[in-house]
Order: sequence, then structure tokens, then C-alpha cells
Amino acid sequence: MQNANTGRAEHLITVNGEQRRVSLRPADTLLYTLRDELGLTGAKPGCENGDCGACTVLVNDVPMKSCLLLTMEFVDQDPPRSVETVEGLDGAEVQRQFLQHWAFQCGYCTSGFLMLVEGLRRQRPEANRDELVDWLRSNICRCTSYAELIHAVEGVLERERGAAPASDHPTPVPPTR
Amino acid sequence: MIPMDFSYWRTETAEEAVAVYQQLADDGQHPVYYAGGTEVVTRARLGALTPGAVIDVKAIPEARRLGRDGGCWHVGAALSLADLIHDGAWPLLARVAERVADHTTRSHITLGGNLAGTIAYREAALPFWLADADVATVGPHGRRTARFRDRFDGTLALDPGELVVSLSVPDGVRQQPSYAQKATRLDYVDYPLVTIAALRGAEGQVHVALSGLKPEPFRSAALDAALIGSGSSADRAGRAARHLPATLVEDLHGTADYRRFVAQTVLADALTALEGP
Ligand SMILES: Cc1cc2nc3c(=O)[nH]c(=O)nc-3n(C[C@H](O)[C@H](O)[C@H](O)COP(=O)(O)OP(=O)(O)OC[C@H]3O[C@@H](n4cnc5c(N)ncnc54)[C@H](O)[C@@H]3O)c2cc1C
Ligand code: FES
Ligand code: FES
Repeated sequence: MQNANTGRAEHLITVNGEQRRVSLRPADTLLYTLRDELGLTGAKPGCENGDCGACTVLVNDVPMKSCLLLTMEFVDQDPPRSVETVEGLDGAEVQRQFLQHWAFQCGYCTSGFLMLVEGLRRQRPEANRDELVDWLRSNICRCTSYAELIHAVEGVLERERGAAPASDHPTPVPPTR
Repeated sequence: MIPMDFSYWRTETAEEAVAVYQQLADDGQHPVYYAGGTEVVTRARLGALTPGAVIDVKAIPEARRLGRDGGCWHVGAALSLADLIHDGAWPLLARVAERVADHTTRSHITLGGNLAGTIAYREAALPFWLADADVATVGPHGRRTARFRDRFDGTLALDPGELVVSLSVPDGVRQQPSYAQKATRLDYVDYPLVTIAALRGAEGQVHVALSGLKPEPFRSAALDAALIGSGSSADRAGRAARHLPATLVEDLHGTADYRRFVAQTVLADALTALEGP
């Protein structure tokens, strides 16, 4: 058994492959540890209620909403549970496809969508349209860039499967939400 | 940001979790078990829940069990809905679970949290309520296994500090013909107007459980009985709908009358799917 009493204490956490020392309260969510303690502001606070996905990170390759996680679930673990944020992507294919397809407007939702789609690429590169739409429903884009987002995801998956992306001028599709 | 402080405990056995709960409760700490955290974190953030301690139960091996043994399929309470969908061993459960919340949040929400939590609807309970499922718990008075339906009437009756460890479903039940549908109003990902789960029993009779009508899931022997008999699916659904609760949830998703209409429609759909028109 492991326990942490109320109040601040130092713990070790692994983010983007790097072990970091953080000071935290057991009641801190991963979202705030990333942003306020580690300066990784890519994960955004939106609803903080699990609805919008702006805070999405990868945990062992699985997209998860960092506003719903306690940082304590990730500290002092051997082997460490890997947390990846958008800062860890660093020019990945998913970022190139988002740029190419204009899959954002204001950009507030973008890092959350990038992590979601990176998780999809790693886990389900064979996903069809229905499945990728089901994944995309986890996040909200208030600027409603949904059609462009779907094209970007299709571009990512086509690359992953080794096919040339179908077209830079895709046909319109219905919004996901 | 969660405004209050609490202590955090990661436990490795069910007995240890229960002992820690007891000790913290005796110390006036108001502990809560912590699984997927989707309810604990969101309600604590709003100050609607103010635990002095959270006891993480996700690392308890028997609460992560998944597989067949002794003619039953066993599923640990700390597994996520995504785990159960991925496993796919019980199609009815997978179909209900894949409409709860959204793809990412289903990697958080646990089966035990959905059954034992206080947030409305608890859709994952519907299949277990219909099946001859058992629920295994550990509490201050020890281990207990009981028929799920004997402990669940829309709300799971747990003693303070009693932990749900696992559920089990007879192999035969998982093969029975089943049907599930979730009707939402504002969005595809949403709380239900009405969710129905239906199972055709060995004797051929259709049993149903519904969520969305009341804050708790709903079942009624009288409603099930009214589904039997002559007439089209629509006729029988009409007769059965008379046994829906007298008062239904009324909110921005739908009026009580609209929910009643949708419930009758999905009852007819379930009968058609399982018995023909
Ligand atoms: C974005 C979002 C969308 C949602 N959509 C839906 C939906 O469509 N349908 C639906 O039904 N629900 C929905 N919910 C509610 C969600 O299902 C509940 O929040 C969830 O079931 C709680 O499970 P958890 O594992 O996260 O529990 P936690 O938050 O960890 O715990 C919830 C409660 O259950 C208790 N508990 C947890 N595990 C156990 C156990 N093994 N034994 C005894 N007690 C236990 C805890 O002490 C706590 O009181 C949604 C929630 C969110 C955040
Ligand atoms: S901020 Fe986490 S889901 Fe909206
Ligand atoms: S680009 Fe503005 S919220 Fe998505």
C-alpha cells in the first residue's frame, strides 16, 4: 500500500520520457500539475468536466482526459506510467496533417485533438470512417472545424498505412457532433 | 482544480482497501473509493463531494480480473468500460457500454464506479440487471456474493465501506439474443433520453431494463409480462408502456411525455428485433 497525506509533497513523475520532480497536493489533477508545475501548457483547461477533451494526453498510448485524473495516479511508480503531452510530439506527422488540412481555427482545442489522433494512429491505424468519427466525438471544437479534422485524420491514417493521402481537396462530410 | 485537500491511498487487496476505509471513517475522514474518478473528481471540483481521503482501488488484481471460469464469465469492477468493449465477450454489455459517454471517457469510467456511483442513469447496470448475474463484494462484514438483482433496484445497496470486487455472468446468458439502443436528443454523445437493454430468455420471453426515465435505471415485472401475448410489436409495446413509472425525468433533453413516447418506440424496436414485427 502507498499513501500520501494531505498537503504538499515532492514526487517523481515521467512526462514525455523525462523523469521530473513535482511538488503537489494529493487533490491536484494531472492537468494542473502539467501546466502549473511542469510548464507544459499544451493541455488546456476547457470544461474540466470530461466533456470537451481540450486537456487530452496519452497515458501508455491511450488518450485520457487530464482534468479527470489525479496526479497521484502517476507518481512514484515502477515501471512509470508514461504520460505524453503535445510538447512531446515535436513535429509529428499528425501535426503536419493538421496544418495541411487547416484542421483548426482559434487553436484552443488543437492540442487535445492532436493527442487523441496520435492515440488513434498508434492503436487503430486501420480505423474506418465510423471508428475515427467515434474517437473524434471525444473532443469538442468550438470553432467547428470538424470536416477539416476528419480530413486530417484520414491523412494521418493513410500515411500510417503507407498509402498516399487521397486528396488535398476532399469532399464535404457531416460534422461529428 | 479541486479546491479542498484529501489524502490519497493506493491499495493492493480488497481487504486492505476495506480496512483502510474503516480506519479513515472511524477517524472522521469521510473516505471514498476511487476508481475511474470521473464522478469523484468532477464532483469534488464543484464542492459537491468533500472527501477527506480517496482510496484508489484500481490496482487490486481481483478487481481487474477478466475471463471465464466454472461456467461463468467474470469481470472485475475496476476494469474500464473500454476494457469490456475491447474484450467483447458479452455482446449486450459491449453494445450498452459503447454508448456511455465518449471514446476517451470510456477509458476512465469503471464498471464498479458506474454501478455504485451516484450520477444518474448508470447504463452499464442494465445488462447485469437482466442476466442471472452475481455481484461479489468485500465489506466490513467480510466477503459476500449475491444475485445482482437482489441487491440492485436501480441503486446498488451497499453497506458503508463495502467494495464491489467483481461480477459474473453464466456463459449461456451471454449467448442469448439481445438488443440495445440509446436514444439521445441534443447530441450523439449525451445522457440518455431513453436507453433500453433487452434479453430474450431461454423460455423465449423478452425482458427489458431501461435508463433515462428516472435518475435510476428502471425494470418492472408487470411491464415484462405485458410484452407477452398477441398483437404486433407496436401493440404490445403500447400495452407495456402503461407500466412505465408514473413520473418521468423532465429536463432540457425532453419532457416526460416525450420520454414516454420514445420509451414506447424503443420497446417496439426491441420486440421487433428479437421476435420479428
Ligand atoms: C464526460 C462524462 C460523460 C458521462 N456520460 C455518461 C453516460 O452517457 N451514461 C452514464 O451512465 N454515465 C455517464 N457518466 C457518468 C459516469 O458513468 C460516472 O461518473 C461513472 O460511472 C463513475 O465511474 P468511475 O469509475 O469514474 O467512478 P469514481 O468517480 O471513481 O467513483 C464513483 C463512486 O462510486 C464509488 N465506487 C467506485 N468504484 C467502486 C467499487 N468498486 N465498489 C464500491 N464503490 C465504488 C466511489 O466511491 C464513488 O462514490 C458520464 C461522466 C462523464 C464525466
Ligand atoms: S477540460 Fe478536460 S475534458 Fe474538458
Ligand atoms: S479551433 Fe477553435 S475550438 Fe477548435
